[in-house]
Order: sequence, then structure tokens, then C-alpha cells
Amino acid sequence: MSLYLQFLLIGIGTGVIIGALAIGLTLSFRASGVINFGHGAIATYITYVFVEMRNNGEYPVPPLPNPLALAAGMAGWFGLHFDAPDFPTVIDVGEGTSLSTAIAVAMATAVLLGLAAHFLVFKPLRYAPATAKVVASIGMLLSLQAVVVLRFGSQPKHAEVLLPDATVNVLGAQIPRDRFLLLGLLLAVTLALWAAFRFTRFGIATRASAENEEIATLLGYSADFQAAVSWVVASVIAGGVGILVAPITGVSPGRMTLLIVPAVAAALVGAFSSFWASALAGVGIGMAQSLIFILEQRQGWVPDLDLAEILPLAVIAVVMALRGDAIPGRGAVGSERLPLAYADRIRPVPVALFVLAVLAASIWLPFEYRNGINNSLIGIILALSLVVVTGFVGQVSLAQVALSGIAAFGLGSYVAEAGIPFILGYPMAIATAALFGLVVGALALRSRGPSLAIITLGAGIAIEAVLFRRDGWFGTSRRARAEAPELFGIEFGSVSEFFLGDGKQPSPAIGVLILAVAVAACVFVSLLRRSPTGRQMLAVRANERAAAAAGVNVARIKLSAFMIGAGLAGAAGGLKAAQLGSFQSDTFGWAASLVLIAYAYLGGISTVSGALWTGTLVGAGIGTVVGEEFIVLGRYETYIAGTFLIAELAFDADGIAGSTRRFNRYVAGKLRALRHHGAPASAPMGSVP
Amino acid sequence: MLESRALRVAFGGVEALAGVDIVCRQAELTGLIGPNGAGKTTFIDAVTGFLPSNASGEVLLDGQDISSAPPHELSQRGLNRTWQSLELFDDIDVWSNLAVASQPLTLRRAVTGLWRRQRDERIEEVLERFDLSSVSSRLPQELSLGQRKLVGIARAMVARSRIVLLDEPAAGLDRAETAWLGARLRSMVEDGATLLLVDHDMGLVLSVCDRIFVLEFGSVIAEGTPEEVRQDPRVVEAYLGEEHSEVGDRSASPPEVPRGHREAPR
Repeated sequence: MSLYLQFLLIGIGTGVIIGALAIGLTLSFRASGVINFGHGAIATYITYVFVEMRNNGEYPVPPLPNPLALAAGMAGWFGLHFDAPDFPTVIDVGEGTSLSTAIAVAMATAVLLGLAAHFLVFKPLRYAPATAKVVASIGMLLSLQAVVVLRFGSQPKHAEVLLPDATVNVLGAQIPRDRFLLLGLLLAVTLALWAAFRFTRFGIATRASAENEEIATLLGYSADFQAAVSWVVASVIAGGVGILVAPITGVSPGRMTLLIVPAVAAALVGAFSSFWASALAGVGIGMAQSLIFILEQRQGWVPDLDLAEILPLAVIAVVMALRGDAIPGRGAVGSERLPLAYADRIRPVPVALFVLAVLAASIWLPFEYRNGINNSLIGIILALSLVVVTGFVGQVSLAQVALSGIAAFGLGSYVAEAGIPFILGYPMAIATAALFGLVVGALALRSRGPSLAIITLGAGIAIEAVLFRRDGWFGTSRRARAEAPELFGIEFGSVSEFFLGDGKQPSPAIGVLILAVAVAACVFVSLLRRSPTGRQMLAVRANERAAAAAGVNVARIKLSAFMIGAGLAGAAGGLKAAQLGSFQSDTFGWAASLVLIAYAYLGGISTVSGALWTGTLVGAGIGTVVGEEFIVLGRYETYIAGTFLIAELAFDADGIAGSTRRFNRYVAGKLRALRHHGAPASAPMGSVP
Repeated sequence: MLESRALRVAFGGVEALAGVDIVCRQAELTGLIGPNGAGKTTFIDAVTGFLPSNASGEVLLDGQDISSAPPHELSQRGLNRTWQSLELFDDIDVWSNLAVASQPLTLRRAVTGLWRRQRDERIEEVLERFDLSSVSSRLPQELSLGQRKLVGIARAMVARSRIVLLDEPAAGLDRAETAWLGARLRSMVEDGATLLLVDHDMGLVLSVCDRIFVLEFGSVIAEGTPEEVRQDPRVVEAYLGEEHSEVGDRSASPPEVPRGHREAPR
């Protein structure tokens, strides 16, 4: 018995950092209406800064190790090769920095990071739709995560023990004393925040702004100032607790960053407004996870289902079921539109030429280019799945990669295991993914914006934990296998023979198959956009109430979108399986969904041409391959993607596709003006809708 | 014909409508007036199915009880509405705004619509009627307020509606535009449409409606022809007050459409 009590109480350690993150989430939500998925990454970065100073006596100057390397790479593009001078990117603070100095500097960094989060990311997005804010916070997560890996490497670091590690005896269980000190600290911080919000003018003003920012501003309160302070406080709490908890959780790029999921669950218990409920729920989740871990090890009746990982999702599901849309709406001054969902014009001749060019490229280009093209084409199909769900209907989905995995594992089972021919098995796999998409959509029907992001993220994690990693139709504990697709007696696998090309892998055969599916998907989504269904989808995105009043069955449209989106994701997943031949659950991990939505927003989330850009940019795609050739993007890729994403959201939500369209129209307008008047007209570039 | 019987709407302890009986007769223009907060918009919301958990009582559309039907179903059954605050679909052009509402989406249409272009004379006809044909491929944000109001009404009309509830269509329009709109509504009713006009503009309501209901504090305090309502002492006291004489003057002559304003308000 005391063993279980011991694990329960030891879990307080992780619970405290979850609680601290949950408080921070609540704080920044109340201040800016943002659920900051990058909050765990803030804690990670601060912890690393502290550890680095204590271990090596170096203070890293954020964010990049050597920005000049980028310039050197860019110059290499034009044939200029030079060695970038070593940019001083660390400040030597001397070996053996005192503890107090290190803590002070780390906290100062936390202040700067909090200010940066507010002024560089979320203030510019103040009027952006909730979807854009969610995506921006994902961009922040990706950037910070990339900075940590670039800076400090991905190996776990040694963390200094700051709190006394003597144990105390609680009913026969030996518990490290630091757990109770941490809990006391968390409760003290919570009490302070609660009191500040309750009794100080600042707190009351922040509450007023959350209620109605416009009125609060008219009364002379600066919502901007309140938000900045809140971001700083949230960041300091996360960093401070992170440093103290580091010996317990370990210092690695992913650990605290990913605690964002249980932290969101805890904040949800507090409805993103109660500090007490958030903190206590966080501690509770940490303790329960620790207890579940030992129960799974020791007790036969507890199924070994990675329940600890699913627990936060169960919490999210229960809270949502009990309270409906549990996150209160936050009053804001107006709201900007989502990216424009213009219908892409299909010009048969250029499209055919483009497809032929890609076809030729995927036959005769060197193998690394062929592989890049294949990855990009699959990326395009995945991006199209988001175009339908997020771009057309305005529903954020962080489950698309997991849904594509369903089809990948399904295809493996149907074809390799059950012996169903590919021509049937592939559509079956797609249909299965669509079915799962329907379920995710049904779960998400009553929520929108941030809570929808949480539910779909949860669904993705659950699919990964419950299905992919365990033996069954949709997963395996070893490696899944997919046979080379065979259609009409011809093999289309990565190693299949093909009558053209250099005979190296990947075979052009798989390229041909992927290209065919990608073209079909693009055509389908273009047609969908112009069809009555597409119009209803855009109507729902624009205004659900008005759509319902105009006879649109909003629930059915949303469900169809989730289903179609999941089907497209499934089409991509099946191809990925065929391309890889053998694969594991991590290919379809939930983190990949976060990266996908980032790239999709960057490319342009509401148009087919945007999806083409997304595919080009996507990791290991043709953009990366070409980029590697000319610029040393490589390690900087995620960082650049994350940063560009935030910039894109802040300045021009239409994505690269939108910018190029505007540019094209601008140039076309100039040309027309030249032809007509012989002189360029002065139309402002931003004015064309 | 639309009929509400003892329609009650309560938000928590606040009673917004306290048992309202309103009848909109076939091919008539029914007016619903009342001061701010009287419950006019609440009435439209309740009748069109947007307040399922707050409303009680009966709503009959051509004799059938529709009080538990959701909004999209009511729209498909011929009960449509406009919004005081426009609520157009901002991302799609005017034609598409109407196309969304013109026909319900069946599975068959969803599939064949992928390759077949939707042709719908009804949309062209309604656009023509509201002088919107020339702007049919523009986005709503590119239009003037008056035109956007008309798009909202056109969208509600296009679905072969049996009755359309208009929520303050004249708000924000100037006098000439209001008069133009009134004449347009009147001519629609002459062509057989059934309309409920909710408005602030007493002049408009009194001059174009066939029957008028006066709402105050969630109850109907008077009903009848414009003439009867104008002379009803309760109405004079509750709503018209000192404005009475001005209203009388205005309604003496029917709304005249000024020359040069035959076209859609710009």
C-alpha cells in the first residue's frame, strides 16, 4: 500500500509544473484570449538558460547560435563561398556563476521572453480570429523548441538539485521533502495571483478588460499594459518552477514542452479563469499519472494502455461533456477575418503542363529530388485535408496526421495481412480514416476556436496512444509493413521496377502513383470549393447563425468537412505507408499535426494553391531538398518555419499563396496600365482584395 | 400564414416575451413595432428557432406546429428572416450568398454540384428585383450599406419563402432609401409575398403595412390596421407620444418615391 502512496505523492513533482503551466495558461488567456500552446516551451527555454549558466558559465544570446551562417549559406547560392566569422553568440559569465546570479539572469530572460511573446506575437494578433491565435502559439512552440535544439542539442542535460532532497516518512512511504516544498510554493503563487486579481486595481481592470475590452479601454485602462504584465508573470512562473522541477522531470527539449497537454487539461478544469482550480487540477493530474504508472506495472487488473498519457484527454473529455464549451468567450475589440478563401481558377493548359513537368521531374531527376517531390506531393494532400476543415469551414484540427496514420496502418492490415488487393484496400483505408474523422468531428461539434484545438489535439494523442502503438488493425508494437501497391498488374512501390529512369530508389513508379492521387485531390478540392457544398461550407465559416437561418444544416456541413478532410488525410497516409514500406507510430505522431498546421497556414490554409505551397515547404519536401543544395537551411528549418509562421499571421494572413496572388494581380494591373496609358498607374499593392 | 400562440421567452428570470399572439396573414405586410427592448427581435429569434431552450408556446406555419424545429429546417420549410446587423457571408460574392439559401443541399446536389454548374433563374430574378444584378459577383464588403441590406433581404426571399421576417431593414438608411425600400416591399406583397416588418421607423411601418402589432414590455398592447393603431390611445401614450402629429403628417400621403431614386440605394 505504501508503495502506491509513495508514487502518488512523488507525482506531486510533475504535478507542480503542470499546475504552474496551467496557471500561466489561465493568466495569459485572461489577458489576451490566447491559449498558448507554446507555454511549456517557455519553461523549457528558461530552464536551459539556467542550466547552461550553472554548468558552463555561458549565457546564450538568443535566439540562434550563429546567424551569420545563414548569410554565408545565402551567399553560397551565388557561388560565393566564405567562412562566416564566429558571431559572439554567448556571453561568458565565467565558470561557477553563483546560484543567485544564475537565477536572477534566468528570471530576467523570462521577463524578456514574456514581453517578446506579447509584443512580437500576440499583440499584433489582437484582432485576429481565434484560429489564427491558436496557430500562432503553435508557431511559438515550434520556434522555441527549434531554438532549444539548435542551441543546446537534443541530449538530456544534468540538472542541479536546488531543493533539499532528504526524505520524510508519510504513513510508511519515503517521500522526498522537495515535493512538499514545491507544492507549498505553487499554492503560495496561486494565492498571490488570486489575491492580486481579487483585490488590486490591476486585477480588477484585467477582469474588466476580459469582459469588455472596448469599455475598459474607454475607462482609461490599458488592456495592452495588463496583457504585457500578465505574459511576463506567466513566463516568470513557468521558468521559475521549471528550474526547481528540472531535477525531477529532467532537462530535455521535449519534456516540459509537451507537458502543455496535461496543463491545458488542468486549465480547462478551472475554465481558464480560476487559478485555484487550475493549480490543484494540475497537481492532481501529475499525482494520478504517477499512480497509474505504478498500478500498470504492478496490478494485473489494470490494463497496460498508457493510461497516464490518456488521462489528460479523459479530463478534457469529461470537462467538455459536463460543461459544454467550457472556455468562456473573451470580449475583444472586433475580430478580423480568416484568410480569404478565393476559388482557384483551373486553367487546363498550364495545369497540364505543370503536371507533366512534375511527372518528368519525378522520373529523371536524381533520387533525392525524386524523394523530395514525393514527400511534397503527399504533403499537398495532407494540406488539402486542412484546407477543407480549417480553410473552408473554419474548424481547427490538430488530428489530421493521426487520421492519416489510421489509413496507413489500415492499409498495411488490409493489404499485407488480410490479402485484400490494393485497388480495394486503399479506398477502404481512406474510408476508415473518414469514419474516424466523423467521430472526431462529432466530438468537436459543440466547440470552436481554442477548445476545438484542444479536443482535436486530444483525439490525435489518443489515437496514437491507444491504436498506433499497440497490436491490432491500426497499430503494432513493432514495425508496420505495407506492400508495394499493385494496380492492374503493375507494381507502384518504392523499389518496383520502372521502364524509365536510372533504376535507383525511390522508383519513379511510386512517384507516378503519388502524383496521380495528388492531382485528383487538388481537382477534387477545387471542384468542392465551387460546388454548392463548398458555398455552404464558406457560409458556415463566415457566420454560423446566418447560415442556419439560410437553411444550412451547420452540424451536417461540419461533419462532412471533418469526414472529407479525414478522407484526404487518409489518402496521404496510405501513400506514405506505401512509400516507406515499413513504418512506426512516430511517423504519424501528434506533434507532426502541429507542424502541419503551421506549414499549412504559412502556405495559405484556405486555397488549393496554398496547399501547393505547403507541400513545397513541408519537411523533407522538395523545398527542403532544393534549399539544402543552396542554403544551409537544414537545422534551421523548423525555427525558420515557426518564425515565418508568426510573421505571416501578424502581417498577412492569406499565406504565401495569398501574397503571390496579390503580387500577380499587382503586376498584371501595372502591365495593363502600361499598355493602356503608356505609364504605370499607382495602385497601392495591398488594396486588391 | 404564420401564427404565434401564447409565445413566451424567458432569459433566466427576465421575461422578454410574455405570451404573445401575433398573426401574419397570407399575402399581407404585417408590421411589428414597439420601443427598444420591447421584444421585437426576440420574437423573430424565437419564431425562427434560435431560442429553443428559452421559448415556450406554439408557433404555427400554415397550421403546422413548428415550435421545436431547428432554424435550418424552418428555412427549408419556407420561414426565412433577415438580421438587423446584416450577417452576410463575407467570403463569397453576392450571387453565392443567395445561392447558399436558394435550395436545400441534398446528397444528390452535393455530388452532382461538383461538376455541374448551378443554374438558378430564381437567383437572377431576385437579384433583378432588388437591382443587384450588376453587383452579383462582388463581395459584400465592396457594397454600400443600403445594397448590403438588400442582399440580406434578397437572401431571405430567394428560398421560395412562404414568409419572410424582416428585422429593421430600414435601420441606417436615409429617408429616400427607406421610401424606396417601402415601395419595394409593398410591390412584393402585391405579388403575393407574406412579410413581417419589424422596424423603428413609424412612418415606414404605418404607411406600408396592412396590419400592425404594437409590442411593449413583451406584450402586444394593440393591433389593427394602421389607422386603428394610430388612433389607439394606449399606443399614442406608450409609443407615439408627442411624435403623434408628425407621424400623422407623414402618413397623410403614401411614401413617395423621389425621382432619381428608382434605382437601388447606393
